[in-house]
Amino acid sequence: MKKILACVTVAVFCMMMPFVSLAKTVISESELDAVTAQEGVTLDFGVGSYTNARVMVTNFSPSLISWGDSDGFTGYSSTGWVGVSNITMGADANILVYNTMTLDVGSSGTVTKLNIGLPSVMVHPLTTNAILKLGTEKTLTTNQQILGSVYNDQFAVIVNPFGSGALAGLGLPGSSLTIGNHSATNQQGVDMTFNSFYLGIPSVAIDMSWGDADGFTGSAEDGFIGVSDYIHMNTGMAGAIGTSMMLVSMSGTQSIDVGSSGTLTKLSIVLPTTTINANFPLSGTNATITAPLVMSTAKELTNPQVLGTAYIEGFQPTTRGSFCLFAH
Amino acid sequence: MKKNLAASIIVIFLLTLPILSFAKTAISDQELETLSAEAGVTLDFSAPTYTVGSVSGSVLVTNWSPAKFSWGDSDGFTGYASSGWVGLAGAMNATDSNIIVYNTMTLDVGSSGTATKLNIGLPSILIHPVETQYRLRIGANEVMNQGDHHYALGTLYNDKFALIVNPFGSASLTIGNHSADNYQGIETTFNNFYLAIPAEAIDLSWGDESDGFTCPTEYRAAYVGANAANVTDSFTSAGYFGFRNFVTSETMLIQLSGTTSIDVGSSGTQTALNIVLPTTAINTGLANITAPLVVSTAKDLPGSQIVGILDVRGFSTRMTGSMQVYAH
Repeated sequence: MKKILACVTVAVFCMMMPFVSLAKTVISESELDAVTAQEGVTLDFGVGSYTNARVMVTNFSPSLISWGDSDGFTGYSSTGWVGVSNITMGADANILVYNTMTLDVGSSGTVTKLNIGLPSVMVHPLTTNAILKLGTEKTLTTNQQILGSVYNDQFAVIVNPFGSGALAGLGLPGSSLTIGNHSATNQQGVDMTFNSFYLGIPSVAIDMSWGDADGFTGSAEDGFIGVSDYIHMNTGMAGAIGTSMMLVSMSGTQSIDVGSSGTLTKLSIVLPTTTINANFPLSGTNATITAPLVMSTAKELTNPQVLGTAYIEGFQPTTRGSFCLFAH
Repeated sequence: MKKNLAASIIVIFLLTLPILSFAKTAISDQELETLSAEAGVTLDFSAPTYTVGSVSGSVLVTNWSPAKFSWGDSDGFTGYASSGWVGLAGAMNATDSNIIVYNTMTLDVGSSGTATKLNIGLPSILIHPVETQYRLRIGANEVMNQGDHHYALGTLYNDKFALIVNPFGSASLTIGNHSADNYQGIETTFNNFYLAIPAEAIDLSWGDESDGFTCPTEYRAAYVGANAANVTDSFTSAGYFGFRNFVTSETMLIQLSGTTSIDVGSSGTQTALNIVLPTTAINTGLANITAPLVVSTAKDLPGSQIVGILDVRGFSTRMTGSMQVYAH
């Protein structure tokens, strides 16, 4: 009985197979030739603007950063530290990741490179406070010497602001980095080529101040100096895409090498060509800067005592070059 | 047999260990105490990638001149109580204007036990504007775009200029708070700090580019009579005066020494910035100055209208003091 049941089951299974395969569409050999498996990785963080971001980082600010030197310099040869402490940011400060990121690695046959298509990343500190200090140990609490305090109400910088989202339809390519060794000579070291790489600083009014809690003789109460409602505006960019930023462009190839003479080790850095306040490609315009200089008794520069307003057009310096860095 | 062979190898290995260690030189505890890893950072900009005259460096900044810079005052003064602006427009530098960074920069932080300071060993920096032309303007708005007749003060031109920060490569800045009493504020001490203006012939002119002037009636009368044929009422084309081939006998040096400090404080109602100036000595090397004064129809002062030649020797001046800056 069991044998009969098993034979029937196998027969039914075999009879059903042709019907299942009929559900498929026949594909020709020529079509098969045209099909290739695609490789490379895409990470989709939400397309468009930062409001669609799918990854958010909060509470990213440390409370203290210090830099120490064990042997100082002539006259000050004991250990010293410099840094910023008491760093705070508003709870709404965040980093948002949006648009897509791609990862590919390929070879020309002789040279292999890693290509990273960058996502857009908005770094957005809010109500930032910090105290600039010197001290004799890393926490800057022993023998602390306060230089002053810094404050700003808001700031944002967007890495790869044009991304691969809505703005890509305007013909603005997203940023990518191509990374390899020194392929011309096949020597070790990192070569990193910037492709259409931009940083964008949105045109939002910013308050920034420097404060001194003990003033000076005759003016011994808290005093602050800074810019109130500092703003830069690229009207050509706003007219073209409805938003305005100050752009920082980086192009060319940056390289980093570390080497030693046997007694001294050095880091060699070739800088990318960097233009601050670069032209927006679609309009060919850059940002104007308006900076009202004020003093106040409060870090937020309330009840401002206005010294005047500086206005600057057409400021867009370009830096390039290299340097070596080593200990002494 | 195998056991004997293995035992022999182990014995030989152990016996040779002390012999290997004899290859090292013994170091005493006292010597070890005197050794310390060096800390501090050196940035080396000396690779001769970019060269101007006798200066070569590894970092180049170009296109650093703004097209327009203005300073505004929202409440003016008696009789002129509306907003007013003053500034430079049409600032143009030739494309070979540049800034070159060379020599080395060091960063150290150290303590004397009671006072901690940051020490910055400065690199040398050549600031080199070429073919600079500004129109000095006033205006009712920040772009100062009203007509020349009412709002252009004149045009400033020079063919070239150079200023070298830290020409000898040995300057440093020592930065701390007011360490004597540990008050907040920034104290910066200048060590071996010089600015240098190379002894290159310079053309420098001031012009009235758009409308010249019309000779007042009283001066016309002086020409009436025998020289009536030479009377000219109108000088309404562009005119310029300035120094052609202004030159010093050697590099002019400006030395900054002592300590400058910056504090901001408040009396409760008035906030002010207190600045103590460094001691500033101009022309410490007593360079001789030769300055031919010329009037011309063009900004670069061609032609033969030489008013005279100014020759200055033994000129050196020194400035010290402090000031307070506040709004009114």
